[in-house]
Amino acid sequence: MLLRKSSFIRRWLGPVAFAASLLAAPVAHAALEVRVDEGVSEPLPIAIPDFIGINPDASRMGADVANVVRADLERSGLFRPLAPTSFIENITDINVPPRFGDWRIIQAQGLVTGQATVQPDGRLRVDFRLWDIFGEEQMIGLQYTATPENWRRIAHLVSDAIYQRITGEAGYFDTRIVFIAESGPGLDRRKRLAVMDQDGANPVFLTQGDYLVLTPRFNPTAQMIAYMSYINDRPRVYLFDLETGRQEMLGNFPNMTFSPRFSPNGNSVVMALENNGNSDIYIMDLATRTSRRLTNDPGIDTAPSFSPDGTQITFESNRGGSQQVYVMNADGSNVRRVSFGNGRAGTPVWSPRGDLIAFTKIADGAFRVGVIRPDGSGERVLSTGWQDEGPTWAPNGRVLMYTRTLQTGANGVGGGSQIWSVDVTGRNERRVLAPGDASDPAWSPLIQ
Amino acid sequence: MRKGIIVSAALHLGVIGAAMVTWPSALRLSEEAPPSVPVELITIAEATNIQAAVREPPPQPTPTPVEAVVPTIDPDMDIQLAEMTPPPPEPQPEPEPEALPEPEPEEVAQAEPEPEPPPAPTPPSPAPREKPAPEPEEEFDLDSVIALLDNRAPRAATPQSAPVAEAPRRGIGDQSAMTMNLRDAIMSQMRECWNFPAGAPNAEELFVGVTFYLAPSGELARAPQLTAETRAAMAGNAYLRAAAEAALRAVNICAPYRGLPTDQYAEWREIIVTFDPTKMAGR
Amino acid sequence: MTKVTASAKLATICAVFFLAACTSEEPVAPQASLPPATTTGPTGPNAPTSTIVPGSLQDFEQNVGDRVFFDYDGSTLDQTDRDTLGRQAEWLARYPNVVLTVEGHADERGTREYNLALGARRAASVREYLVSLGVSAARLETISYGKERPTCVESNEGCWQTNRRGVSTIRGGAAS
Repeated sequence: MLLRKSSFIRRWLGPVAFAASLLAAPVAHAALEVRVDEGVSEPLPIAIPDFIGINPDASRMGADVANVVRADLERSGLFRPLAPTSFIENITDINVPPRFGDWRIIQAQGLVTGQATVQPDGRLRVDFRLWDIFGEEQMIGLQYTATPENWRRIAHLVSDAIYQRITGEAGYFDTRIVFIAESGPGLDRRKRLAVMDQDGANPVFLTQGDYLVLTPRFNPTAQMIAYMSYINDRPRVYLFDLETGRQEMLGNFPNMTFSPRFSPNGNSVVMALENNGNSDIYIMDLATRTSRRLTNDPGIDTAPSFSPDGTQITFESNRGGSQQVYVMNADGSNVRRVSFGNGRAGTPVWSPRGDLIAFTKIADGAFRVGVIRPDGSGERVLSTGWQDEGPTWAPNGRVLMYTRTLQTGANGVGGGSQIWSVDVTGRNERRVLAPGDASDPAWSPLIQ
Repeated sequence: MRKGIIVSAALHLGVIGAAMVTWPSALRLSEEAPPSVPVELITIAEATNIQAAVREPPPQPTPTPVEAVVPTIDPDMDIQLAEMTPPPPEPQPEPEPEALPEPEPEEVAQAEPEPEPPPAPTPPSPAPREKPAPEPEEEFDLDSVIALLDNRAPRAATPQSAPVAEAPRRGIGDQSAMTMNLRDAIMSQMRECWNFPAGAPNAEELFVGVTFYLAPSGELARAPQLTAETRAAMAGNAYLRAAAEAALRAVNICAPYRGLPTDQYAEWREIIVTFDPTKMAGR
Repeated sequence: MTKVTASAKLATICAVFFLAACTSEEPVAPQASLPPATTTGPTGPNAPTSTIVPGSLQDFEQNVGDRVFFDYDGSTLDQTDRDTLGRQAEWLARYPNVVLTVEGHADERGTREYNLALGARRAASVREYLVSLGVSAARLETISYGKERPTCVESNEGCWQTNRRGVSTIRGGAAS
C-alpha cells in the first residue's frame, strides 16, 4: 500500500537514487515549514507476542524467552510492552509479514515476532524479527542458537538487538552484576560476594559471609573480580577468578588496600593504599605485580576510576578541605578538581561513553547519585533516596545502578541496603531485584 | 558478643595456623601463597614503588581459602548468531487487491485548494491481506554464523518513486498570520506525538527534518520522508538514525492532523517539519 | 609520624591467639551511650569492685575506657579523648604484654571508600597519640572498618556519634 511503498523507497533506494528523484519538477506550492522543539519522552509501545514453537516444549521456551524480552525492555524505561490480550493478529508464522494494520490499531509502534525451536541436536534456536509498524518493513531479523540452559542469555541478546536497533545505542541486557549480598541484623551484618544477571536472575554467592567483603568490580572480560576482603582481619584487595573460583590477595602491602578498579584494558588495577592513616592512589600492573604511586598528598585520596580511553583517572580527595571529585592524568600528573557544587562529592566513576562522571553528591542531608561532565560542567542529580551512593554504569553508559541505604528508625526498625537503578536522564528510577539486601553493585561489560 | 567473635576468630586462626604448621601439605595453597619467609614488616611511608613479591606479611595463615564455588559465567557459551533476511513482502501468488505498486494517491497532490470538503477521508485502509501462502521456508544454517546477508538485495525493482520534491523554500518575509496559525496548529499536535529519544550522547545535536504531504482530510497522503539533509547526516550515525525514525513515527502517529482550514489546503498540503532537540535534550 | 617498626609483634602473634582464647569473654555492656560521656573509669588499677581482674580485658574496657569519639568527618582528638588515651597508655605500661589493635570506625553518613580511609585516619590518630605517650608502636596495630561495624544502627545523630569511634581492642597479653 502506499505507506509500504513509500517507506520502501525511503529504505531501499540509495541516497543517489533518491537525490535523482528530487530533480523532478517542484510542485507549485511552497511547503509549510514547522519547527517542533517540544515533545514527550515516553516509553515506546511495542508488541511482543510469545514466540511461537512447533511443539509444546518449544512453545513454552518461546513464551519464556518473550517474557524475559518484555521484562528487559520494560525495565529499561524506554519501551512499553503492550498487553498480549490486546493483540488482534495471532502470529503463526514469523516468516510472513505481519498484518501491520492490526498492530497500528492497538497503537503498537514496534512488533517483535519470534520462534523457538529445539533442534535435533538438542540445541535451542531462537529466531526473531523486529518490524517497523509504520514503515511496514523488517528492521532487523536475527537468529541465535545455544544450549537450552542458556535460554535467558538468548533472550537478553534478543533484547539487546531490539534495544540497539531502536535507540541507536548498544544494549546492556546480556550483562551481570557483581555485588555484596547482605543479611543479618545491623549490628552483625553478614556480607557475601555475589553475582547475578542484570535482571536479578541466577544469583550465585561467591563467599560465605565469614569475613567482610566490599566494593567488588569486574574486569573487562567479566571473568575476574577485584574486591576488598577482611579475611584474616587484614583488609586488602583481592582478585576472584570466576573460572577457577580462586581468590588471591593482590600484592603484599603492609597496610590496608581498598577501592580497586580495573583499567580499561584489564592489565592493571588502580586502588587506594593506606599508610599511617593516609590514603593514596596506586596502580598495580597485574602481569609484573609492580605498583606505582599516583597521588602523594596528606589528604584522603581514594575511589579511583579510569576514563574509558585509559588516559585519565577520576578519584575523590579531601585535599581541598572536603571530599570532592578530581581528575588526573593516568600517570598522576595534572590533578584538577571537577566538582564544585555545594556539599561533598565522592565515588566518581567514569562513564563507558566517556562523556560523564557519575558520583555521589552529599548535600543537604542527602546522598544522591549524580553525573557531571569531566570538565566539571553540567552537574545533574539523578536519584532521590536518603542515602544513595556508589554508582556503576551499564556498559552502554545509559543506565546506572547504585546502593540505596534505607533510614533505620528507633530500635533498629527499617534500614537495610538495596540496589537501585536510574536512567542517565534521571528517569525510570527503580529497585533492582536482588536476593535479599544488597549493596555495592558493579556492572559487567557486555559479555562477549 | 563482638569480643566473643574476635576471640573465637583468633582461636580459629591459631588453630588454622597450627594446622598449617602440622600439615602443610594438607592445605593446598594457591601459588600466590608464598612460602612463609619471615620478613620484617616494612613501612612504606617513603616507598613510592612497592614491589609485590618481596614483602611478606606476618606469617598468619595465608589467604586463599578457596571456596567451593561454581564459576558462574560460562565463557564458552557459544551462542551462534545469524542474520535473517526479511521475508518476502507479500505472498506473491494472489494478484489480489493490493497487488504490486499500490496505485499512489498522487491525485491528492493535485487536489485543488478549493474548499471542496473531501468526500471520503482516505483512510489508511490496511488492505485486506490474504492468508499468507505457505512460505518457502527460509533456509537457516543453524550452527554457522552467516555473514551478513545483504538486506537490500531481495527487494524487487523499485516502483516509480513518487517524486516527492523538496519545495522551494519561502523567504522569511513571507510569514503571514495565516502561516503562523497553521504552524501553531501543526506544532501543537506534533508536540504530543514526538517521542524524543532522550539520553543519547549529544542529543541536542540530533536535528531531524521530515517532509510529508497531507490529504485535505488531514490524513497523510503518503509516507513521510526524511529530508535529504537528514538522510545524508544519518549515514553511520546510529543515534541520528534512531532520532530520525522517532521523528517519522511522530509524523505517522499524529495523523490525521486536525484543525487545518480546508480553504487554505494549498498552504499545508506539503509540510516540512524540523524536529529541534535542543530544548528536549536539556535533560 | 611514627613509622611502623613492628616486627617483634610477629613473634608473639601465635601465642597471643591462644592467650586471647583463654580470656573470659564477658559480653561487654554496650557502654557507649553517648560519646565522650565520661568513661571516667577510676584511673587506678584496682579501684573498682569485685570480680574484675586487674589487667584483664574487662579491666581495660570498664576501668580505663577502650574508645574515643570523633567529630563528623574528623580525626582529631579532643581533651576527653586524650584523657582516655592517657589512661590507656598508663594501663599498657602496667601490662607490658598487652598488644592492641586500634580500630577506626565511621558513621553511616559517608561513602564507603571514604569512610574506610577516614577510619584508617582515626585509628592512626589514636595510635600516634598512644605512641607519643610512650607506648611502643610495635604493640599497636590498626585496622579500619569504615562504616561496616556500627555499634548502633539507628539513623540519628546520637547513634552516629557513638559510631564515629576509635576502639583499642586487646589482641593479646591481657590477664584472664
